[in-house]
Amino acid sequence: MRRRAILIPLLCGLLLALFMAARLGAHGIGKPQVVNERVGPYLISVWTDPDPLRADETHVVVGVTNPDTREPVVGGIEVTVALVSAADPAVVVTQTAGTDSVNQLLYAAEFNDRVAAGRWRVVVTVTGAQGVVEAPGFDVDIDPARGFGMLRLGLGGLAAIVAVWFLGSIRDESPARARRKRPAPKPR
Amino acid sequence: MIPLREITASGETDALYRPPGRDLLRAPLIGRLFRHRWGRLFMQVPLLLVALLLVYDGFTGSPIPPQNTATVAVWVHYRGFIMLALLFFGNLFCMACPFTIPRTIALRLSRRGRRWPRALRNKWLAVAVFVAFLFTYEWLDLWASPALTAWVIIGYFLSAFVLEALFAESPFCKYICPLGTFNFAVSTLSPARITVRSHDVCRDCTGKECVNGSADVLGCGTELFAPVMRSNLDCILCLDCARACPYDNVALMTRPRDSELVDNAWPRRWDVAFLMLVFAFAGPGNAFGMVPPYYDLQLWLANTLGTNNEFLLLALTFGLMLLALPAVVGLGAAAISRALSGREEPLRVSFSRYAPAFMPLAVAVWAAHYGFHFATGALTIIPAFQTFLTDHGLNWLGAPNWQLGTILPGGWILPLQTLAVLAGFAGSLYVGTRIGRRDFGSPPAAMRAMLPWVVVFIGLAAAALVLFNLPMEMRGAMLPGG
Repeated sequence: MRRRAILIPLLCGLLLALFMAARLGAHGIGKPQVVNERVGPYLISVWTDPDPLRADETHVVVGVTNPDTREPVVGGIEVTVALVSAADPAVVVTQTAGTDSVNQLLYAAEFNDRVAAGRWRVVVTVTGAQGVVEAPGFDVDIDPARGFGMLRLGLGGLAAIVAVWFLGSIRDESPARARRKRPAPKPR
Repeated sequence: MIPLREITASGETDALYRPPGRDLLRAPLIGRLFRHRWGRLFMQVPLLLVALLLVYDGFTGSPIPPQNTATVAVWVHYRGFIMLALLFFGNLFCMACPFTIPRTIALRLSRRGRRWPRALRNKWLAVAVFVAFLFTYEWLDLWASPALTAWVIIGYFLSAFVLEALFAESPFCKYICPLGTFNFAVSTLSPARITVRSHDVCRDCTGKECVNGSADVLGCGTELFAPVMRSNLDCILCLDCARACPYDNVALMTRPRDSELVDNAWPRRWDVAFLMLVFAFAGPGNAFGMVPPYYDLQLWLANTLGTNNEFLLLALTFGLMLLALPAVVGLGAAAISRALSGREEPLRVSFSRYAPAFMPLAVAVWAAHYGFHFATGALTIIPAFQTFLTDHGLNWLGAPNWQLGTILPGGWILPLQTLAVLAGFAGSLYVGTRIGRRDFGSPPAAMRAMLPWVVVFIGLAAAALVLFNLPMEMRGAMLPGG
């Protein structure tokens, strides 16, 4: 009973920590910044991921759709994402968004560890046979890199579980516990 | 059929017998459906129609994977639903497997063919086919090809039919099918399994119809004998045993999830233990094929070996990751475990003792991986199906909405994956501890014997956590978020 009394709050705490960390988590799908904006011959959508962006985790995902057929444009275009520093517009970090090797419907650009904390303007350019078009730009705030990620939390969780297991094993063989387990003498 | 209550009423022992858990075959509605003579067919026919639709769309529909129902349904939805079904109920897919409809026809036509060769009556072939399937998935980019996905479905139908027509003992399901192998492995953690309500009834039964069958109903296809079953391994949950039993004595009983893992329910065989280790290593191994370091490794291998032959490079990578690594690590851990415990026993026994303890972690890693693809691409099936309809002039569902995709907020996925891996890791330690105390008695000896396996568990769990923190190809995702 006592072990359960410790275990349940421990698990609840872990769960809470994970979901609080979820607010910081990367590796997701993203926050919509531009949704189906008609730009030249395309409908363009842009997402940023994670939310908030951090200097060591900044992803921009672009979807390009044919406005007539509403089908994704999967070839014949090049998508470029540029991040322009609001503090110093001369600082521009540009990345050609590559298509996923399997999922050819998304264009993704990563800026991990290539941008500093601060406000940046995101500019997406699509180049195709029908010319060059630029999606409406938008500003993002990039937070400093965090020294605390889900990976560290996960590895810390592993260490904690091993420690609990080890201590539990030791505790199970402690002399006091062994004495408690010993059957009481029969009454005369 | 003689109702069980008439049998038990006459036997004092049975009158007092209370089977553990809850018998799902006696549950309202679902129990009647499961036990009904055509109950399985009732579940198989819809999946057969789906399979035929996927084959058709795979060959004739959009060649873009996320727009085709064949690729989306097979590589996103099937894998997501299968984990949910296995974790919350049991081997429902094998129960409703459409591939076994022609198999059953073949079985009836052949009236039990020759025996499957003795040399192949083990899990070695299942290990090879399972790894070959994962290898082929990456090599041919099956996800990226609706047509190849359709061929995979056809291949399943043909293999099941031919093998069942030629051999008894359902060799396709029991020894070959990679989906079945996966399902068997995960179902060892399922909350229900086949057993009997009264062993006395089975003791007095002369026909053993549950395994031998009767004139009207087939017996167990994989030749399992319900009264002695202690594991879900090899059980395709066809429930033919329940339908064949003249005493209505077969039960699908709920149980604690860890029961067969800690109860020494698996045979102490090299092949079974190795299969489970391969299954455990294949979880991170399969996910590794979808993250950037995998491509870096392939490039390094290509430069080192001076070849760009993708088949060779991939075979080398998969052979090392999914076969050599579990073999070397498993044998090493077994040898150290035996030395630390000070017990004189065959290495096979040390090797297989802790194989069940891998399952919680292995299943957690597979669930976290498949859950990622399902969570990021589950709704893609809607525009993919709309595309299929509009391609055939049916516009009543409207234009496809390609922004459908995710079913969970993006920020939830990684924490949920992390939580799953940690829970699986804790489960593996728990099961391993109970196995150790069962076999060694004293906690110190149990802990010493388990230490090398704990190191392996830590390695697998850490590898999974690292992989899930890397950007993974979103197979099945369309244009998300909006």
